[in-house]
Amino acid sequence: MKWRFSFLAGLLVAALVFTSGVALSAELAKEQVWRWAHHTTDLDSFDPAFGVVDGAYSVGSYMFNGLVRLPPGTLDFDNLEGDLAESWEVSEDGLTYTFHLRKGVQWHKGYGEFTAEDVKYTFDRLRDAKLSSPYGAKYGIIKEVKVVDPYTAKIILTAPSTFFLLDQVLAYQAGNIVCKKRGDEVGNKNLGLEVIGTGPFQFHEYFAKEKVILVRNEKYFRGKPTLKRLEIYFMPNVASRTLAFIKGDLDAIYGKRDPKWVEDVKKTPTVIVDAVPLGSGCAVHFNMTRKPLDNIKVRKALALTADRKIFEQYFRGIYYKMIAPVPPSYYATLPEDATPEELLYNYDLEKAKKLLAEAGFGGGFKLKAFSTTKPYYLAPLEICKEQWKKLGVNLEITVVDHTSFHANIRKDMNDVVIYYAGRPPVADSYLTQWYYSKSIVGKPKAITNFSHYGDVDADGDGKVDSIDSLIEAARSELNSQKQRDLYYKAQLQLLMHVPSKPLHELTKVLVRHNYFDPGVEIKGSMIFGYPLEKAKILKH
Amino acid sequence: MLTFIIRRILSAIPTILVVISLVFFAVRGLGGDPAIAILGDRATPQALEAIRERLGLNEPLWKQYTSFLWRLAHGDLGRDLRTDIPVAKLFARAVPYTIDLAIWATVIGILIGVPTGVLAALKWNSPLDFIGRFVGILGFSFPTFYLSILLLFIFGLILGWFPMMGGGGDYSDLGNRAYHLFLPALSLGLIKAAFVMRLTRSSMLNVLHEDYVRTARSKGLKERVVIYKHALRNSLLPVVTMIGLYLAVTIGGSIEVEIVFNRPGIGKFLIGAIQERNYSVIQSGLVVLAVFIVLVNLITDLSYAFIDPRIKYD
Repeated sequence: MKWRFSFLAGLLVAALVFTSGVALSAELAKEQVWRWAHHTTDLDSFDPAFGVVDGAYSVGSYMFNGLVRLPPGTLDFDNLEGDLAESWEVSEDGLTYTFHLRKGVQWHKGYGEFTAEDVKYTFDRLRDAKLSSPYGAKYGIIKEVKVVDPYTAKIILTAPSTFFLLDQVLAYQAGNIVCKKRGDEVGNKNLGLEVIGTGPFQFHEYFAKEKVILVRNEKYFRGKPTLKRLEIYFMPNVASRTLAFIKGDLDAIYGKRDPKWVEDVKKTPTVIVDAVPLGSGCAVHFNMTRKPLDNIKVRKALALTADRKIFEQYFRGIYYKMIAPVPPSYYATLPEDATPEELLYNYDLEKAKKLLAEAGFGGGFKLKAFSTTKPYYLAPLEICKEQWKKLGVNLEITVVDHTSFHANIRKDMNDVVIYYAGRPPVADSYLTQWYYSKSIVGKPKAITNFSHYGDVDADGDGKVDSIDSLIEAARSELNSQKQRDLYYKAQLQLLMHVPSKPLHELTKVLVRHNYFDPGVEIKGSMIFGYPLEKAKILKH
Repeated sequence: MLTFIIRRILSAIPTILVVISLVFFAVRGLGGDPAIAILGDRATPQALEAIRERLGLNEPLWKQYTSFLWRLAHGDLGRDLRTDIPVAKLFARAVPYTIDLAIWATVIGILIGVPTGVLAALKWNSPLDFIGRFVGILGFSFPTFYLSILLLFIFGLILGWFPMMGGGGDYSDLGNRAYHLFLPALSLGLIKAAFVMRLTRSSMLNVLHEDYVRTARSKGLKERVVIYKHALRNSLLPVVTMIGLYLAVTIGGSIEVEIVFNRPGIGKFLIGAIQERNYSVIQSGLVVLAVFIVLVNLITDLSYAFIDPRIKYD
């Protein structure tokens, strides 16, 4: 792997000799075609209820709108703006959301005007078990969607949820509104790739495993975009993606989550790297049903030796320190200054050895883990392995392909799991998916609770430990400070019980030439791509 | 001749059937779950179960196998598990690009490999032969993947003569297609040339020591006639056989080339499908490949007659 990388790095450096700075002008380039390459091999579906591949929901976001959205280029969760809804209000009990919709918004390709019927259709469809949307479970919170009039929709919840707008309604993944007329034509199933949206760009052509082409929506309600056509390529091979980008055949690409790659690519004078959140949080999860990981002292010892500084040195410019179970760029993450020193689990080998001896495992033990071939998964596990060797702990890593890895960890086959994930940017999504008792792997509503927290006695006092009640209480708490306090309490409890050790959040790596102007400052991005409704290609 | 062709096609059916069966069971033995590959890592077991049910993945294996064979017998290659697009439609676009690549890589391999092989044999043990052998070994041991990136770097990035990616848009646009094909075909062709060169050289050396070559020379024929009419023609038979067999390797190499150049093609399809556990695409793709290779072998057999008139098929 190293020599492969050196080879690529050598080519990149050599490329600089042959590529010079490009003089920029404020004038628009004659051809407003945006060429972008994704890191994924293909798409699955542009249907917001089904698109789970990074490339699919990211490209899909150019074709759809939600009811509300984040200000483009930001992750400003406190300042959501209207998208298809011009305004909205929440009832005092937090159960009813009333959305006042924009008038005159047209669906692509003559599918008529967007109305409240489309809102009802979108959310009813997601809740329909027969549809089997991978996002369906979180829409169970909706009791009913009412069409008050064509431009007013009411959503009634089963219980108050302060994250409803951010987690379920936001213009992101399943929160994007689909066209009822188109849905009726296709039937109650995956809408596939030829979707009808209201967004700034519309579907034009798809070539499997190669590219997808979108063209601008001349009737976009915020005004016709400057870019006329988007050519989006699927290029999983990082070397060819990088070379094509440096030559200028691509205006922007999704980069590699590798600090060395980022440093190399930055040497080209026209290149701008936007290493921004929302990133993927990473923690090492301990399977507490396995001996000796059922012993809190053992887990604490492992947590104390997984040194965050080594990860920081390894990931450099794409690294954010993550000290809490909720990643640092997510809403209601536990701040470092509110965390007691001993719960940070900063590197302390002596203390770790002592804890292990007290637990009766001073001589060490063996652990097993499956890892994927993806370098940013494998590297942290190997770093842990090296660190834990100092305790006499031998971590046996079996490398399998990414699909097998996901299948194996869900069969509870690992002692420890390293997992990266970007999720809706709220504490609730992370805590629910990793630490809620119903999310434990093997259960009917399992998601990614690999530690079995919520079903086991984590601290050895003879009682099962859980943060379920805190998660549920926080979800329905309407006072934001009280809600934050509940999330902080849950995170502190997790840190005390060590079902996992939070390690870091890795940024997204969006890379562009300076002649591609996204039209807004890029401070964060929910998708693997740039906001494009105001974007332009400058003369170069 | 016709009887021979029909016999060969009929005898290929059991081979293809074995390939199909091996592939069918092997992909299911890979581990991993297509349902997770389709719905992603946040899907609940209920949603995963529903998709398995819909795709028939919960059926007993024998039932899945027989219905796959039944559909195949009716010319139905199935649908892409992820996008629900008919696999036949996907392949109809991809296959011509792979055939283009395989044919032109072979042509480049022959055009470079045969003359240099003959030359190396004629100048046996000379510095020219030594250089030829060295380049041959180098080419043979050089991974296609890196040669592709090197060519892309030199001719695409630095010199800017060729495009960095894609297959050339509209397939009917011959000029654009050739322009996009040149570097990928050269990547595969150069490696093939090394193989053909080594084979031609050793085959030619054997033939040059045959009695009939000595006889040809002793009866006063010009050296050119001795080499081209007597030696080369006889030495080409094993070369043609191996070029045919090597086509399977060329197609294997095309996977890497298609990924590096981001070309459409069946190799790129298969790699993606294996990662996604997209059973229908893997199975049908390999069936198409197996048929393709059987056809190439048939063409190879038939071409013997043109090289050696002594060979008869009836």
